[in-house]
Amino acid sequence: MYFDYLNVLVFAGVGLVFTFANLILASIIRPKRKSDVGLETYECGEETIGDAWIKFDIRYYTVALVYVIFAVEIAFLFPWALVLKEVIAGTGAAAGSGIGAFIIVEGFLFIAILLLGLAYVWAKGDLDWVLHWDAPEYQPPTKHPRVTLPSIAELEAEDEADAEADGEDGPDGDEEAA
Amino acid sequence: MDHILSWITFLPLIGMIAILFVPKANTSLIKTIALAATGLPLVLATWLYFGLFDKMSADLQMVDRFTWIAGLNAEYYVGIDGLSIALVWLTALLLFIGVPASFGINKAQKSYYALLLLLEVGIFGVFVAQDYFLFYVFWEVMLLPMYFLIGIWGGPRREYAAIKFFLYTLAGSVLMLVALVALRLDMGALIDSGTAEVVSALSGTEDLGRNAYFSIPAMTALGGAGLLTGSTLPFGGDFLGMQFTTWVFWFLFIGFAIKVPVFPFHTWLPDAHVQAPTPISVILAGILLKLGGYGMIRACFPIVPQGFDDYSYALGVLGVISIVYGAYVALGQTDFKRMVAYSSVSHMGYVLLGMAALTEWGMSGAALQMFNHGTSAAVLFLVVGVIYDRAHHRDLNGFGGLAQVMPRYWALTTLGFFAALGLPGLAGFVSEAMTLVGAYQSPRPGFKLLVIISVLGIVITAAFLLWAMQRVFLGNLNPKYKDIKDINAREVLCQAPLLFLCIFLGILPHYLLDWMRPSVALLIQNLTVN
Amino acid sequence: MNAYIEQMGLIAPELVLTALSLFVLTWDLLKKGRNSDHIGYATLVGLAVTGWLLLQQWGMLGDKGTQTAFGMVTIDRFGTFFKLFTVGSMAVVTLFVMLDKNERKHGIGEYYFLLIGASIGAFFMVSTNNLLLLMLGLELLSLASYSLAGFHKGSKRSAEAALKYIVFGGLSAGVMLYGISLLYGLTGTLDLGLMGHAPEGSGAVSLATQFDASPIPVAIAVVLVLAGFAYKVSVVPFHFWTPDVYEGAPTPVTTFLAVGSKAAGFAALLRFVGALFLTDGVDASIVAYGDRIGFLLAILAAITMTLGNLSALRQGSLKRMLAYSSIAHAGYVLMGAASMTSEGFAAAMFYLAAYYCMNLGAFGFLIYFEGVTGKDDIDSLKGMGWRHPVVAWSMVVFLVALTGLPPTVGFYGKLILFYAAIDAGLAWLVIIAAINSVISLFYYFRVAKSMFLTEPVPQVPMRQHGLAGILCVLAVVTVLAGLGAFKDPLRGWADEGPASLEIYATDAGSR
Repeated sequence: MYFDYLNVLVFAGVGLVFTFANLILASIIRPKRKSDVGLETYECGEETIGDAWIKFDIRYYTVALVYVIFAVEIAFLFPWALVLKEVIAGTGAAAGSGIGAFIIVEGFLFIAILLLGLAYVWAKGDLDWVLHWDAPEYQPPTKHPRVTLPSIAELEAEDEADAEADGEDGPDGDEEAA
Repeated sequence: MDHILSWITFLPLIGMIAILFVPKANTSLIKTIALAATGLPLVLATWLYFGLFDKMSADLQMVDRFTWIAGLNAEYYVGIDGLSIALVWLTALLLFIGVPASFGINKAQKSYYALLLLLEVGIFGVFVAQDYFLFYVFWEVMLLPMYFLIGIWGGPRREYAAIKFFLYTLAGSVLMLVALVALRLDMGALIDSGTAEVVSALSGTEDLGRNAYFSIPAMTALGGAGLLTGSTLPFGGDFLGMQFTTWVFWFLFIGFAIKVPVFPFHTWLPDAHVQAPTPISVILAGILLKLGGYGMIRACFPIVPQGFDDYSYALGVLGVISIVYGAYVALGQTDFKRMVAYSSVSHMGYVLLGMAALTEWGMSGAALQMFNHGTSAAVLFLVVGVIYDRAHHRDLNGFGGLAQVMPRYWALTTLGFFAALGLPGLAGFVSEAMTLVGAYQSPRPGFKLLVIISVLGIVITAAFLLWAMQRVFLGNLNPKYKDIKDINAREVLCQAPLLFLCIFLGILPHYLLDWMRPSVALLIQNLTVN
Repeated sequence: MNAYIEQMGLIAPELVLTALSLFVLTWDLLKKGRNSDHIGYATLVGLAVTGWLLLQQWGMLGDKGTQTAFGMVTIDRFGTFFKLFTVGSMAVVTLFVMLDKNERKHGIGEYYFLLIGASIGAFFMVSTNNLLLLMLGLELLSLASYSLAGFHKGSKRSAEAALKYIVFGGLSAGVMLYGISLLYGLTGTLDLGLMGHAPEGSGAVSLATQFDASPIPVAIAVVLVLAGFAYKVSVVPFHFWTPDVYEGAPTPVTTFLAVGSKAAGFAALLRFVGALFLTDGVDASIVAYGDRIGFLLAILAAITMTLGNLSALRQGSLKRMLAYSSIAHAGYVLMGAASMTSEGFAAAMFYLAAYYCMNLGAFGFLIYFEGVTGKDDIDSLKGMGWRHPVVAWSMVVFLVALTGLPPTVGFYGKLILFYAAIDAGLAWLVIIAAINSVISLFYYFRVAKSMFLTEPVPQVPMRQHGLAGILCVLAVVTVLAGLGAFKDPLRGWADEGPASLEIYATDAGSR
């Protein structure tokens, strides 16, 4: 029975050979002229700017997730429609079971639940591009006070003050400790 | 009176529940309830001992029996015979003494008396249970109150001592549990098979026709007939290359030996004793140790007589080691209570030696020794408690000449010491002599040598007790203790009944022996492998 | 039409739960985050209705035997047993959420929604013979659990718990799916009954036939599926997520994970193993292989209980200690599965029932204690016994039960587990389990020691707690004590479970 899967192995092997053989062949026969322009990433004729490893806004993920969920779930309507068609036409496995009304109700229930999901996402504010907190009770767990950086002049003044303080108090402090 | 054993067992539980409803501050009411809940069982037990119990019969008496957990074929099955009745009475007495002996305790009294009563339920239960499941449940019920009694009201290292006690005992009892499960399986298969052998072994017992797979009398009957050999279990009951009778015997024996305690399982005992408060030490030494010995003759040896027969010499050796080693270590102690604790190890060794010899004298002596050690060890711990309450230390070398300022205390202590070292005329002498004579009579080879060695233990015991007496009471008075108060009336009343028993049973031991005789004879007959 | 409605009636408890979840979600939206306690009460009412329906179903199943709805959902007493306990534990967890002092009282309607969703997943998981539906149920349970573990969004530990859980969960679900696909490839069916024994003309090949032809693919497939279950019930070596997730998740969620989720995983595991290797219809040639699987499970059980107990010894946090203890208990339950007998399965079921009681109690205590001190380490328990005696003594009862000492239901459960294992020739495993209960005593009683044996630490803030919390814990204690004394009904129920599995197998054989 292992032999049954041999065609899969052969298929995979042919695919690998095809890919790598072409790449190797190309690297052998293509002209090799290196220049700065030639080594740049090709991007629609535009000059490349910055790194590809940048942070995307978290909101993209939310929207993408919501989209994926609904897209996938809508796909369940296709088999449902097929069964419904068979029931109406009186063919296939469901013929004569008399469950047409049942199926219709089920389909609408399904869509109603999906709509509830949409309403949920909407009400929770996940469709808003500009995020805001409107739940009155919400308290962020810890409050980070905004830190304002000191100017250079202030830093210099601080350093001078420190130096003076060291010069006066330092030795006394040492004696006391001794 | 119907159900007298159930009343004795569960009266303390009623008392405990009553105490839980009393406000914490009302300590006098709590103490009254505790006294009543321990006193009533004592009255009932006395009536049972002298009135209801038929001492000519070896049968189980005062039986209460009904199905408890049908799914397991476990029963509520209680009854007593000559082996247990004396210990039931001793339990009632010592717990009753334990309550007034605890009046000095001021910390969390409500919890204390509630736990003490729960402990009493567990002890009574073990002595009266005839169903192994019930026996095991009561056996474990004792652990929890004991843990808290040592752990909350104990000395400075109480946490360590309490958990050590708990762990040791539990380690023994889980081994017991494994053996118990195996026994139950074998019993179930045997009784269900209903072969002629099984029927004839069970005929004459109450268990014929009852599917009581946990019944100890049924196990005894089948074990005595040589049928309980694990033949129905997977691998024919063999385990790790050991025969069923071997490993079941050792698992059960170790479970009980830890409680006795037999060398080398004795190391929890000194810690638990030293840390426990005085009344708890009294109960621990007076009764809890007896549970181990009682368990052996009730629920270990007769069930697997083949195992007992194969290893009785090993048991004798363990007994002798306990006697000599316990006494020798006691000789080296400077802590009064620790010395008494090790003396318990030594004294309980006689019990094992006497049982291993399998003669009537040896077995009766062992049973008698359990009772007598219960009284004499209790006295010794009460004695230690008296001096500790006054001096707040127990260093044997830190006293001296106390006989001059505490003459009454000295008199009582001397009596207790003499009872413990087996002075003729006192109870300890009778039982120790009977054990040794019984062991010497044993037809089995090598027991004579064991007896000769164990006589050494008697000498050492006399040495450490007399030396302790000399250090504490004789010589020049330590000036620190020149104003120390003599023993008071409450303490005397606690010790008096025990000391009375020591003298009384030294002169008239047949007040115990007559009750035991038929049961001991039956036990020996059961244990003799053809 | 009528047949459909009848079959709908069979899954009425699940339908009620689904409707309840939608109702809870909608109501929460309409309330806009005001007081969530009403939603909690609504959840309790819904759970009570579900429980009532399940009891009706239990009686119905006694008359009619095992039923199948839509060819997918198997309604038998085995499943209903676990469903009843899931509903019961869920009701207690809901009460815990409502009484938890560290939980917000507003805007947490989703908490209840997710809990109900998890129960729906557990419901389908325990009552199907179809591996696809089993997987769907497991995923629904898991997804709800992931969100629940990360319910405290602001807490880093909660977020870490959710992430760890989802990564491990995803991996193990993948492994299990791979095993299921192999099984499907080998037998041509997803129905466990047909896999165990495929009659002529069913279009499927029974696993035994494939096993005779080539044992290795069958072994790989079975082991992969078992690995998925092992993750769900946190059996070594798939237990790594357990302590971190249990510690980081909100405590009521931990309660649910340790009790409801684990029991559902065990139910599915027992059904899988039972259908393939144990039941009447199974072809003889694979029964010997089942014994080897049993031996594998026995070894896993031994390692799991030992590792769980030894790791629990050194924990300073009560929550983490309970997490390791739950690993150890998984090992005990696995003993029942490893014995590969009907008695063993019944013992495992009974032990799980006991486990529900004692662990709900222990975690309830943890919630109470966190509400009082705001901490979860054992040392902060000092003096708890004297300040909160009722709760503390209740905890002692739970600890005794967890250790497996009489007279509690924990002892009884352990006893029949030992009984089944010795009967199956696994005496060595019983010895290991017995030694393990001694080890476990040490760490369980550290809690008792801290509560009673040490003097109270003065600086621990003690707040008066609501009566409700005490009552809640007490209720569980009462149940526990009652079970310790009147064990027969429950034992009978547990015995019914594997019996109904066998009924199913004969049905599948004749189908």
